Amino acid sequence: MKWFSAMYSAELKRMFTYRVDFWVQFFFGIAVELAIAYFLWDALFTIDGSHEISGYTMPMMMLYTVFAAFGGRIVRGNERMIVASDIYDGGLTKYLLYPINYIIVIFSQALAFSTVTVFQMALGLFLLFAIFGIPQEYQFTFENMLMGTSACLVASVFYFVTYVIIDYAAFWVDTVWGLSVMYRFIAQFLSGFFIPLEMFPDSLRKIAYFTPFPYIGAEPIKMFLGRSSWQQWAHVNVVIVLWTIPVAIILQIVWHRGLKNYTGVGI
Amino acid sequence: MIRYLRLYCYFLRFSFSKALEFRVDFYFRFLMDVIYYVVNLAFFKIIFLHSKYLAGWSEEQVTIFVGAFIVVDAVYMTVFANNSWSISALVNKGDLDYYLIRPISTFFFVSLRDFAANSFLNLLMAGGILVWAMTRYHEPLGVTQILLFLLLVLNGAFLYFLVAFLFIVPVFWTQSSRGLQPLFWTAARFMERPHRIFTRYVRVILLTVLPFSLMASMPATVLFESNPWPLTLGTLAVTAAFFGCVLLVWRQGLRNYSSASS
Repeated sequence: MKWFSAMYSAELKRMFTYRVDFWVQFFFGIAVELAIAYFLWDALFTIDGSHEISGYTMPMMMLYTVFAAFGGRIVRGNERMIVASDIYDGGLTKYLLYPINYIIVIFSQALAFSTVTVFQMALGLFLLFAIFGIPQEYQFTFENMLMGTSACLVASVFYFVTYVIIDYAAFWVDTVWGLSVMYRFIAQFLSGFFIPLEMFPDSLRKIAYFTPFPYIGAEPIKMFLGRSSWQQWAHVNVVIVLWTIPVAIILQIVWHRGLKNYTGVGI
Repeated sequence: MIRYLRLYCYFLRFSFSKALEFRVDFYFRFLMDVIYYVVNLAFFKIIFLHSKYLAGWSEEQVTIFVGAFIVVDAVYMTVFANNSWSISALVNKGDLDYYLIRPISTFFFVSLRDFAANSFLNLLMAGGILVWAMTRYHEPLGVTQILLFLLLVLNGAFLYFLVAFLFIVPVFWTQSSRGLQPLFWTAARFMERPHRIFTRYVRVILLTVLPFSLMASMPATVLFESNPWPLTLGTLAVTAAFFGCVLLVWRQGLRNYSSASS
């Protein structure tokens, strides 16, 4: 536990080494995402002339986008492909020599990123609500924030485990970048981070709900929006845990097989 | 000019032989782009389940626009991406030295040396999607409009590279690992939406200072316009201005280059 917190704080320090870079990238990313969404939804609501699309008014659609942007960052973590880099450049070797668990080291770093993102979300929401105000039909409560944030953090564990499995492909193939980006596209689309799942045609939505992705995106966002109960919160978390367990077992199997293939570049 | 063409043919030959060595990467890249195309087409398909028009464009017109930005992305990924991604490393590690001593334009070498043969198949597929989108369009399209549209799509890929380059080139002064690339990747998302949805000063910015709307959205507009010349000439003028700007900044950057390895 001691080294876990040491790794966790080391990652926090690393993130804040280039503070300006870090904050500029964060706020610029959020601003662009929200601006594009605003103009898209505005064009759609204006042309269509309708007050609601799939149960969302314009202000609620924007709020959905805001929570998708922040929640998505908490769930997806830093997506730096650290594991693949460690395998390719031999950085993994030092972890194999230390009496620590490599996956926990990497997890402590991912958790540090998600924690900072939670604080960024709090700051971002404060600024957005202060500048643009809170939509009339939205009831901001700390209970909703707690439900949504905790669900995102649980979902981040699932996303981390799946992402690391993809990185483990580096034990066998020369580059995993394409595979990793492919996974990101699919996960973000089926999670509802791009567009609310309520807008999907029924058949596609049903297919999406056969996968774990709506439970790491659309469902936590509903919690932020105050459209879920504690019962639904429990259901979503149970589903995610049930998906995480088998994937974590596969992760262990792939790790042990991969190690047999590890060449330890630079030894 | 012929010397440069011959040199580029060598680059192509080398790139294809390199791509065939890393076959798994080839398949992954292919699948990655297939997913990217499908997700983008599906995104707008879903939007049009809820509306007949998007900022005055029908679904058929928006599909052509999607085809255009997919082709722009594919050309960039095939011809320029590997090169622009490696510029920061060349500058920071001092490897640019090897390019500076060669008897050809350093800018040409740095920009076009690495042709991503593993993305070439995606370029063909993106072209296929664009042709499919154009054949679905029920209104007649003029030959001039089609030719100018294709010219502007290719111009869009070049402009995309130029803007990306301007975000990377600060590496000469900052010595950061990626320049301002992360900001570019974020801003580049403006290219994936029709410029007609943006209003007032945001649209002006996207047509001039950060010309993401000139890369795919404007070519699509030219295709549907009865008089495409003013928009075409305007787009080419902005590209020429950016090209001049890139060359200027590149030269300034080279003056500031400290050659880390020597």
